[in-house]
Amino acid sequence: MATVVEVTDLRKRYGGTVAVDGVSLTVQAGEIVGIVGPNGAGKTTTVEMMEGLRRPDAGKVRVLGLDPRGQGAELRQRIGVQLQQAALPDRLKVWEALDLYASFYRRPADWRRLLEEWGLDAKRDAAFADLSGGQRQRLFIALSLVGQPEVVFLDELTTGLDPQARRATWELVKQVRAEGATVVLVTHFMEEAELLCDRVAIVDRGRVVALDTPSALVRGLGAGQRLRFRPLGPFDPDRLRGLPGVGQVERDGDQVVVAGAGPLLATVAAALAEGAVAVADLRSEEANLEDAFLALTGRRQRD
Amino acid sequence: MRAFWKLAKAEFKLFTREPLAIFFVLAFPLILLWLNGSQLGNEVDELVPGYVALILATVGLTQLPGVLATYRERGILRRLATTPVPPARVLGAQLVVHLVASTIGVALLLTAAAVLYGLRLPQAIAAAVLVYLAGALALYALGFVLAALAPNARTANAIGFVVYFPMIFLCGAVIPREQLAASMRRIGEVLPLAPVVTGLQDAWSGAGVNLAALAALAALIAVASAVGIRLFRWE
Repeated sequence: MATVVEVTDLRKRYGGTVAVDGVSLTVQAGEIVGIVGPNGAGKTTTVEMMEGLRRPDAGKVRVLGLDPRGQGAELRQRIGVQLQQAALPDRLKVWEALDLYASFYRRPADWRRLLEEWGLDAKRDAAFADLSGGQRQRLFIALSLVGQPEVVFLDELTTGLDPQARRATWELVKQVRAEGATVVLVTHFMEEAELLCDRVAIVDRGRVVALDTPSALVRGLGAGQRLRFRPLGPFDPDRLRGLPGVGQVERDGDQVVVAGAGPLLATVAAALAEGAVAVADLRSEEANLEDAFLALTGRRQRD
Repeated sequence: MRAFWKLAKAEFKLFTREPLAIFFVLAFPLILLWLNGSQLGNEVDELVPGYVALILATVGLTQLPGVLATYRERGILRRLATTPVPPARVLGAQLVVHLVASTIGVALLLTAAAVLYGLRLPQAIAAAVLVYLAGALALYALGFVLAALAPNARTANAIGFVVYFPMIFLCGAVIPREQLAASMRRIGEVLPLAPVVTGLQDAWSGAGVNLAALAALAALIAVASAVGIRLFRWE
């Protein structure tokens, strides 16, 4: 498979702050690769260097084999960009924006189709200033696709969208990939990265701390499953310890957390029934990308 | 080039959607003409060149810096920077649109002045056109510098007005220079709008091509665009 994005030992500092501290990663054709990390981790700066918006202090960037600074004009014909923060003139209408941006590219998409796909049909003649946050977001995504790009960079794709629109957007991004584009996705929604991305780069303090498929990242935790319940009467943790498949048993406030593997739920439920221990709020928890993220960066995401 | 014309067309539409811009560029000069043209003793051939200069100053100093600074502040330029459109073409489209807007204002003014007050054509039409174009470029370049210097759109608008008001009064654009005190006149003479007013008046009256005015405007265009290009930031 062809390499579409190749980044080697990329560095960027702003004054005394190091924003990107030696990032290396590659994206293959047809992949959806996510870049996740806490605020200020250097995600956006990294992507903006790929887009040619910022000049790296050191390191190498090639996108579609082109240097984003030296061959920017050619590259910009072939990529689509949705910025985290951008705007259009207040009084520009939705259709006018799409029509205008379509004229910038050699081989533009039919913007009327994009208007429909992104649910902007009814807002065709609305001015940019009169659009809701979600509508603006969808317009920016549509604009990023209007040049029929080979690579699309989406920065905080679904911020400002309601849960329904978010799901619809994920489906459309999958469709964009199915039509042959490669997608680089910056996000702080772990659910989004887990659901959409073939591979995820976890970035922290300007470095890539892990890069793998979401399931491999989760497996790498070795966390197995967890059960959580609230005993309704006196409860002796030793009752569960030593049972096959049961690992740690810990108290967490009025709850008990059991870590382990195998048919954990059945084992624990049977032991509890045998001891006539009534429990409430019994939940099985599986490790997800959020847990992997926490383990790797050692901190919680701040929105 | 398709992108350039599309951009210019979109920008022109946006101009027509700004009521304040429409008022100050198209209607206000007509109101001034009506106020002063009806007064006895005022010679319309002497007033109109000043109003033409006024339109250029209005567009260059109160419209252009605000538009550019707003586009920069809100990330509109940044979004454009991710497309294949070269930055020079974005600025070029702005220049063309503001020149077209100014020219529509001037056309309305000249038509009204001719129909209502018997304005005559300039004695030296080519000189008038030349001064007009040079004046437009000079004032827009100045506006570009203001947009480059201002940290945000509010400041760009404020600086624009601070430069604009003294200039239109002191340079003879709205008040004939003869009515000003000598000290004020002297200040007015060195401001960038002065050569536009003088050059146009000379073209109208038949005094001919004012080379000093054209040279001053050429120098202003060269310096201001060089400074603007050097200082203007895309974000």
